[in-house]
Amino acid sequence: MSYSLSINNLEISVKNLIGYKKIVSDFNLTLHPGRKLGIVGESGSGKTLSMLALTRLLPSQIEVTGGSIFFNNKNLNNMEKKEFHREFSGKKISMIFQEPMTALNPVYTIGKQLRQAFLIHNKGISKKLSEERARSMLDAVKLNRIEERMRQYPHQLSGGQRQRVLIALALINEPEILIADEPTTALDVTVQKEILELINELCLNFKMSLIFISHDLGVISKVSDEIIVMKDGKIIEEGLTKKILKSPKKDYTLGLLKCLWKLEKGNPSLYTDKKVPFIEVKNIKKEYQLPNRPFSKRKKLSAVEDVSFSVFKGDSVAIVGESGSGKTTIAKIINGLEYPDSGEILINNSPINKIDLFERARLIQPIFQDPYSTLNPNHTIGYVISRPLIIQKRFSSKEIYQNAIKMLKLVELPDTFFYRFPNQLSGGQRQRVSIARALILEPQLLICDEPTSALDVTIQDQILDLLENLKKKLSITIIIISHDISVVKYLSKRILVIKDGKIVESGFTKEVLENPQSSYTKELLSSVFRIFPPKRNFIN
Amino acid sequence: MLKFISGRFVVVIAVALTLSFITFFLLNVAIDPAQAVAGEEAEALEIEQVRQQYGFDRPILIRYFEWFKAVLTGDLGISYYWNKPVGSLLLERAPETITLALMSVLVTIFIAIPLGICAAINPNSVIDRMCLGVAVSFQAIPNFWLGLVMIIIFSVTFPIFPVSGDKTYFHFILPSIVLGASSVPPVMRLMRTGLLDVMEADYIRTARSNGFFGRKLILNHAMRNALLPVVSVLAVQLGHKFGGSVITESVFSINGLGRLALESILGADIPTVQILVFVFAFTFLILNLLADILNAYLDPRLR
Amino acid sequence: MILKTFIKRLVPRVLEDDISILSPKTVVLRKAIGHSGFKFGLLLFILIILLGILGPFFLDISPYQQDLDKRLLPPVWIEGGSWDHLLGTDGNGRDYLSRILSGTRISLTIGIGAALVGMIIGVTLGVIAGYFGGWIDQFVNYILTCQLALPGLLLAMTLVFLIGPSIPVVIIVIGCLHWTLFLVVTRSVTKRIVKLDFVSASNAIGATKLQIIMQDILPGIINQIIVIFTLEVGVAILAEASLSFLGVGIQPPTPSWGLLIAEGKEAIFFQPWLIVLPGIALFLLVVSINMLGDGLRDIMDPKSKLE
Repeated sequence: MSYSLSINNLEISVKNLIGYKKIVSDFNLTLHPGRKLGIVGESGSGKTLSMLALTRLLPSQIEVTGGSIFFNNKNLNNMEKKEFHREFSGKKISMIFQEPMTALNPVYTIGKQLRQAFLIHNKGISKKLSEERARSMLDAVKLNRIEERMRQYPHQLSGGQRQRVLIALALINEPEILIADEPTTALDVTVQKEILELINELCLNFKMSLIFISHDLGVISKVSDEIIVMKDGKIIEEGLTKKILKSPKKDYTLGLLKCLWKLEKGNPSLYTDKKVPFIEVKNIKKEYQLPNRPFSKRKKLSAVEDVSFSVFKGDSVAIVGESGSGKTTIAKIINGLEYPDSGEILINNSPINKIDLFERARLIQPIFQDPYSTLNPNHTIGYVISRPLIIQKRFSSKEIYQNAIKMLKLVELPDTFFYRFPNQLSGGQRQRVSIARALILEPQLLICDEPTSALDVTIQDQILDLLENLKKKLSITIIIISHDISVVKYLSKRILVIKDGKIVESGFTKEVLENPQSSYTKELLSSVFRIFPPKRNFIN
Repeated sequence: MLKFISGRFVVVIAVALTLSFITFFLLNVAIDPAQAVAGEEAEALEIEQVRQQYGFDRPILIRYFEWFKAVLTGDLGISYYWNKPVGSLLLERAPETITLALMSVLVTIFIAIPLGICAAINPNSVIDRMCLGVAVSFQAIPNFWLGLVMIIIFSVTFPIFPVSGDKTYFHFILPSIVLGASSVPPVMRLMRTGLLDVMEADYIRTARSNGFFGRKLILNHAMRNALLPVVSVLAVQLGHKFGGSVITESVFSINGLGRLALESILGADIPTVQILVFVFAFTFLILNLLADILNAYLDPRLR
Repeated sequence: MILKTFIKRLVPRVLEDDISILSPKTVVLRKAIGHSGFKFGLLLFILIILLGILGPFFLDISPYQQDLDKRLLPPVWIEGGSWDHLLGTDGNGRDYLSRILSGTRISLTIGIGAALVGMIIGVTLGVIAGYFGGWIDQFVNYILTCQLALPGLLLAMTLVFLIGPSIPVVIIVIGCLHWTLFLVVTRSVTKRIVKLDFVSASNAIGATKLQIIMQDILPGIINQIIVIFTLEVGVAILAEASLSFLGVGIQPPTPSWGLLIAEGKEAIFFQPWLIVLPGIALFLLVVSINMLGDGLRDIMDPKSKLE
């Protein structure tokens, strides 16, 4: 059971026309049996690539161009790919990935996939024995109703269940190292917590060591003894998890932590109260029809069930819930992009469906989650920002241009971006453009649907600051929709916790978070791994 | 599963009914059926007589329902041109076309699928480039010309195969190669891109990380997924083979349904053309239904 | 040399990882210049067009001029051929080169015309079905199933024969039977675009349905439409040739390539070039168009790499 893994001066490059371009360099790592190592970094930091290099799963244009990987004094880099897959993949080193929804083969049953994975390293084992093994693995990852699961297909399982099956697949040949690449990022927080606990437990039971890759320091802190912090293909800092979280040595790590600490501190400027009702949502209901097959009963999915709340002028309200809770549907209904089946929405005491399109556009504007689909790739940034004014047909072209430039300044982008296309911008910059587009009509209400959840922590921090500044500067009302309690805490005064289309709890953010009443809110809060600022406050 | 099949079957019936009406309408409005029966040089009086005798002076809807009722009882009408019941014409000619269609699909399968797989396994290699070349040129070769050139090469210059006719299976070899070649490009491309797409999928990465590689990876994990769309396209192609046999049959003088169709059109033989269009359409729909069922069997998500 | 500097100025040379600096148009241009299949197809296509359109002006023999003394002359490279008739003469003593060259114009006219008709039908239905969804989508889907089930060639033959063969009729009939690919692709791309956030954003700023279709959806599907249009031109050219070959398309004495091949069929045993030559012309034109189409697809695919 004793082994050693060491990666020395690993260098990974991407091949292009003129040669190679380094994307990871000087990557060193030593893993001892039974240890748990976390690798943290933002997107493009090379954290996943270095582990794909170890497991020989790099995409075709990307190659290892230097360094060595020693496993028990054997240099894996000099090994044939075939030999590596035969001797190591799944047997000594296993890997699980981020997307549980697509990581299982859709056309085979769970049982068959498990059996095949077992057979690949144990040729000639009888069907009965391999099936027995598959069952015991499903039991080990704590799935219920094992007999039924064996016969089921991946699409019949939930995301969390699929991730458990994937873990069972990875562990079926008892590897010595498990590499987990953001295994919980696509899951809801409550499920995330269960999966992390499972991984921790299995590491003990199977006597495995773990390499856990994540962008989320909170998650990493729960599953690792040691941390490697990466940025732009280089290791910035490494050391014991506890030490780094309390007193990082490098500015970059400190910067990352500051973003999280700031969120934990909350935002004291939120607590002013004027009660002029602006929007009233009364008993809205919305059902979706599931795609039906001919001659079978139409299935209906209830997205929103009897939700009522009101928003005051200058208010900031957060709607919090997990995926499928109906929070996005509520946002769309308020925005007029969907119509409720029953109930009504009053804006300044007049029903929303009586307000004409242009008027509504000047009252409410949305900001969306995905920076890559929020801008039309065929329009220039200038056109995207000025289009609301062009459509309103009340402005001269000079006015429109001046306004658009003003908006670019407001969201802290340079004038030169006016003639650029969205594909020339980064995610954070795109999100700024979408904020500019929303603000050019000077609306009274912004509805932000997960405005930062697709962004890296540092970019998230900048966008949250921008929203906060704009809120003060323009005294705008904000409804923010999020699954992330910390974002909510920073931006909102009041909070609605929503589950299965119903409001389960509401109140002032501070009170709800400090003293949750409903069991669901409690569960939600206990599932979030927070990074608290150190007592000795050296942030500011 | 039964619900799925019965649902699809109802759609098939509905589409078939619509099509029968549309073709009936088109054929009876586009030309004067009385004129067609009486012949090109008939006098006006003679035509009028025929019109009365055959009942062409009644509204088209009534005629459609009568025709439809007769078809349901198995009476497909009498061909003006051949002076024979259309049903017996069909039975006479159908075996040739079925043989040709099935043989040509076999040709397609044996050429397109192996080539597609080879190309996908070695993307951007010489083999891949060659397969792409084959696809691009086969797509551009007109079917009738390929048939004639094959005759020039393999029957005239090197007399290996008979020039034309349909007496033995040997006669069908050249025609089915010609007809099968036209389906090679789409099927091969789909096999290639399908397999390439599947190899990029997340579940293939999972299988790799579990220790699958090489042939085992492709056979155990990729093949079934990549074949799913190919099954549907093969069904569509087989359907086209029936309707598209017109050209091949006339080039090689095979007395099948396609040639019957050409001759009936040139003879303005409405009852035969009408039934033929309907038969081809219905065959196509049934083949597609079978492909859907096969797909649902192969892909559990569709069930 | 001048062309090269012109291209260089048009398309600044940058490394692959700097792709984010370029605008979408420049990226497409850069890819086009690096795509050998596309360049070859374009060159061949331009060559054929020049030959087909300018060629007849340089030949002083009309494609219709009969010379019964000089029937069935072989091409110049076969014994008995003469330089007066480079590609020989047909059964009525007409110059074959002249007939084949003027066939280019007929093929292109019908190919482009029919593809346009198909495009108008397919794109209109596709955008409507994809944008509105629901029962409209299901209805369009029903029409699509009907169209797919119909034996296209057979129906085209019947219709052309019954209505009476002429170039406009052939164009319209082929066009009306070749819109399904336009519909399928336009509909699926429209459905994908409609779900994107920028369409919701356009809704929220008060844009009308027409504005959304014209400004948000059409620019997003135009690339695919161009690709399909190119490929459908090739398909339509082949369809016209088949119809004419069967005698239910373009009628003699108009020199359509399919008709030339049908006329040559009589002489298959002794004058095979009468069949081979127009077939090669047809093949080259359709190959060039298909290579253009395949090239365009690669070039406009956002996933493809910059070379």
